[in-house]
Amino acid sequence: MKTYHRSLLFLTTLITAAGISNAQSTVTASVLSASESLTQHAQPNPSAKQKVVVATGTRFAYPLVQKWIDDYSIVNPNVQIVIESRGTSDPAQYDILIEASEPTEELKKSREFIYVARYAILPVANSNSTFSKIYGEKGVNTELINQLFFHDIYADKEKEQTVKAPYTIYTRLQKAGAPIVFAKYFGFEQKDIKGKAIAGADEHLLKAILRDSTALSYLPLTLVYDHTTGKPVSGITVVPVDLNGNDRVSDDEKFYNELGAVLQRLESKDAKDFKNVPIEYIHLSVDKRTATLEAVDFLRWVIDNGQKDLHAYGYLVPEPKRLDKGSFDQFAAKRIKQ
Amino acid sequence: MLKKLQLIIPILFFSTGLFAQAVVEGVLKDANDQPIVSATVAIKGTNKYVISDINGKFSIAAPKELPFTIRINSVGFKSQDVEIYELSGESLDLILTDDSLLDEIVVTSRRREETAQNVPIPISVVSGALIEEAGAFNVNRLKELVPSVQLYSSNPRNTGINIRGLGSPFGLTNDGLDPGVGFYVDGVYYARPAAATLDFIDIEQIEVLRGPQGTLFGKNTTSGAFNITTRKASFTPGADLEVSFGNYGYVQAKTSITGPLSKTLAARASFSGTQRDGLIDNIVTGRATNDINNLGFRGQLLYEPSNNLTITLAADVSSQKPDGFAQPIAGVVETKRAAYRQFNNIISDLNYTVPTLNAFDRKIDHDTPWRSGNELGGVSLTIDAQVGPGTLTSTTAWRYWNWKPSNDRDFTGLQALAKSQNPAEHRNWSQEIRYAGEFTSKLSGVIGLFYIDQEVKIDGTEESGTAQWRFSQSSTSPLWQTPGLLEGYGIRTNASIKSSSAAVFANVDWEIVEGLHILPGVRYNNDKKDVSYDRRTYGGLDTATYAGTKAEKIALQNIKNGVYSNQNYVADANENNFTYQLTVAYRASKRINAFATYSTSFKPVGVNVAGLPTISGQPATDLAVIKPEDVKHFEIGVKTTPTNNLTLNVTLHNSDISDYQTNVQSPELGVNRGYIANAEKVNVKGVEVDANLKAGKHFSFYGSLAYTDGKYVTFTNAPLPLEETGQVIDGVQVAFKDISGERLPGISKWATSIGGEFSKAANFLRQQGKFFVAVDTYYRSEFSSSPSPSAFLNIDGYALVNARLGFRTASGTSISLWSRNLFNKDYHEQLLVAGGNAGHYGSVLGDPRTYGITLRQSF
Repeated sequence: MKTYHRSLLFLTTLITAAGISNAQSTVTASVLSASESLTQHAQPNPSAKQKVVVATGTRFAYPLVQKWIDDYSIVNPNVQIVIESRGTSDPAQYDILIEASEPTEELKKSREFIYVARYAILPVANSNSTFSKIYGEKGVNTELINQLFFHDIYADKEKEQTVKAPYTIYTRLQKAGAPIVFAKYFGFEQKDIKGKAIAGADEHLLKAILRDSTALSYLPLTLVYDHTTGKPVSGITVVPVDLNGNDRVSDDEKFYNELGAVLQRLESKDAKDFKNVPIEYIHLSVDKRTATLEAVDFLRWVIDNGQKDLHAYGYLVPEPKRLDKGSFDQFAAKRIKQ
Repeated sequence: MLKKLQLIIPILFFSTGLFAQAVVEGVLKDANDQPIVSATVAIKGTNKYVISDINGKFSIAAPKELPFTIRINSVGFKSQDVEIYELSGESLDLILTDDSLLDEIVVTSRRREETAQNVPIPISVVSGALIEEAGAFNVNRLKELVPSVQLYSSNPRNTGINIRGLGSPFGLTNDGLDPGVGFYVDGVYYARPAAATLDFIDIEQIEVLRGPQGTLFGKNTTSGAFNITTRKASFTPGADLEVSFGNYGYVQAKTSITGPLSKTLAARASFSGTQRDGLIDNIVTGRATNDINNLGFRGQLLYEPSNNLTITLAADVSSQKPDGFAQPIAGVVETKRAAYRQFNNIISDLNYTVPTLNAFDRKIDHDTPWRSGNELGGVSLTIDAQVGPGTLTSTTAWRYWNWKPSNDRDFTGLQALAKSQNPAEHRNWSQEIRYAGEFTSKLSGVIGLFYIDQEVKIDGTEESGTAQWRFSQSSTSPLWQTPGLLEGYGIRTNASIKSSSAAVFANVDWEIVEGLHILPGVRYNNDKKDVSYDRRTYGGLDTATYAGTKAEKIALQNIKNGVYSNQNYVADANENNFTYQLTVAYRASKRINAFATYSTSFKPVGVNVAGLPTISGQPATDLAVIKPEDVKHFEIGVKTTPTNNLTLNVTLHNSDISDYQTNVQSPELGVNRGYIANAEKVNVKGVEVDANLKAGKHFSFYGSLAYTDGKYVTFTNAPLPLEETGQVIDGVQVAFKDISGERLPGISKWATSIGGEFSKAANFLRQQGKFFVAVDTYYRSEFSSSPSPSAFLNIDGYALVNARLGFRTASGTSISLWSRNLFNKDYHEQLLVAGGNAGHYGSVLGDPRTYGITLRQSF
């Protein structure tokens, strides 16, 4: 009997070893088969006559910028503007930078900017989560947003609200526009955001939220809403925020079923007093010294023609004072002379 | 041993890696922007990892399939996962969070995930990680970590789990009683306490809920519940391998493998095998008895067709075939019987001497083999569907238990009780449907339906041997010495219990104003039990053909009838019961959660299925069915988190029980497992204190204290203790005793568990990881081991020290050296009276010092 059992014990061990080996083989096989499906960014292949302008920057703005490129190409077929994913190379190597946070003073010295759109950031949760069911209705105020999203060593734990739903905060690991803006709005830095970190772009944050039924995060409107239906992306629930700062979320502060309605409210006269909705500009920039004429021309075209597409892609129109065409025209004129 | 290690170690440390080309690079820093050196960065789900350099930098080859997760571990910092969705080539800057705070423990006892400190129920939690590192762990070890738990097991069948001294009657188990402590594994009710003796496989967490929980769980839980969760099948491939070697030939192997079968289907398969030599020497057979021979398998299929629906099909099979569980004689008591009926005179007449009266010599000479074949298993189907704001769960389960024993219950080398075995087969199926969740921001709860149908069949044999005449001799008549009178004389028993239980239960948590919660709960229960008992004698001297006078023939037959008699009866019971509870909890702040609970609960009607005592030669059929046990319970408690690295909880509890169901040891051989009866009133009250402390980065401590005072308030018809067997007052044989005011068995007034762990970063076998050393201590004060208080059957208080030290790497490898009962303390777990009350009693011995090494690798 003992021999029998001991044999079984070691057989078990060997089975496991074999199992592990098989498991790894399976993983390896799946890795190899999946390799072809890895997303590769298209490399530009312009014809010899075309002049190429390369743009890069904030990923979530690519669809809007691409729409502008497509429209621009119709009237300027000799210029090809392509978007490349930003790699580790010096951003200055690109003709146009698309950014989603306020440039530093240092950067302002070397680059010429146009502010082309505004974007709003909202807290979102996986629609299957208990959190979304409770707080999709109840909403969140400033205090709770701070408690949920940020490490705050000075916070009074005793005053923290009881959150009766499991949730997992997701955030971006790399420094990027949306998390910087989101954290700064509430008085923190991106590194203070709690939770699971995602190495990837904002759209990957969206994917991560959809994969975890306890996920809670923040996203720019353009990623929250399906551009074709105007409804929130399936599986995503916007968590209403306390707009008027009275610590409660009343019914008139819940208007997130339609993108159009959201944009209307956020562009309304009283929006300047809204609380808990970080809003920031998308800006395009070129290097003051090396900007190509084609790139400058494209930006001028965007100033003149880009506004009509903003709502469709989930952006707010810029305030008139920030859409400063005159200033950019002066810069453009200098570049042409050079 | 060396060859075995040579086989295992290479498997553990040199498993093949995955081939990949892309890399993930990054820098690890602390909150002060200082680089974190020697942190482990591992690709989750693989065995690939790297160590950060002196600048905190790391670079690890990445699998090609996105997304994947890297896990960063470093001593003194919280473990951090990063999900990689693209390989941009950009260096990842990671800031790790200081780990000097206590982790929040999440529990699911209220059918939703909550922080333990927020739940107004006294809960103790034992993590799967501790189970893995402690070595040789099963439910029996839990009592050393949770001092409110008592577990008594003279063999797997006769296992009783009690919380705060209540749950199962002390002594041998009676199949006609329901356990008072619910034992749930992944939501499936395990009806047989024998499950508690099995090895744990793939345990994620054990939650021990103290106090009645009938409005939360399907089956009655008058004194508490064990809520055990196992690791689920995962769509991320993974495997665990664990092997242990120890003294007394201890070998244990555990394996588990999981992974996806398709995009919506995942599986997990787990094996466990344990073997250990016996701890008690049989000086006659030369064999070491009380060994361990366990095998177990568990499989799961997880189907997730959508985010809203999961279906889990699980199956498990466990088998124990020990040469055990023998109980050596621990002492001899002089009873009130005549001198010739005293144990020492009996064995003297039989020219026998016991090998030792010191049980701790661990020597026996028992002639009947000890066997405890114990087979358990079952299948369950659990469906979880998100419906509205909650989760609708259906759990359907079928389970079996086969018990194949052989016992020497005279505890001697004499052929007194030549056979004493009651094989049993148990089958049950159960169905639970419940809906649980957060219905609004102020209202959460659970409502459920539960049904269980059980059948136990017992096919018992009890047979006298050559020496039985002398043990049974109750007069000086020379006829007792008639050759062959009782030799081979016995009883065969066919008994069965068919029972069903249906319940509807609900429990809600309503926050009426900020911080103030009321939690009403109700339960309506119906229990039906049908018992059939048929006992027939066989063998022995054929008195009809005996060459003697008619008077001698009658006298001889009367002797036989006095030892064993035919008995049969049927009985049934059908009881409805309504119970309720009300908890008021006030969370004054995040740091204080105070609560008070009043609850009623009951244990269902009991049926005797092990024979009834005879009164004036007739079976006492009025004892065939005993009343339900009625519990009225009150407790107040406070859970506090004074600082972020300390929790301190205190609970005061009081239970008044009417018609307490107790097991009565009868001196009649025919009532070989005792019978059950109601004690009029019982009271248990006490205080529990639990604390956890994280002291800096390297030290963590826990401490639990339980003061428990349990007594019979009124029990006027109690059995006599062993030493009063044969008591005659005024010429009248005394059968019962008033023990009102006396203490309950099995309860130590004081019990404590205190322990701590020190951990620090270190290198071992070229691996970077964490070294740890931990000590767990357990103490319980003296307690009674006799249903009726006895001057002799008391167990001295004892303290045990368990320790472990080892090394665990973040890549999933760990080595631990462990010892249980480090100082080799001799102690009794239980003292049991030998069948027939001749005066001797045996001991369920605590294990001597055991130690070993456990090697573990997770992939």
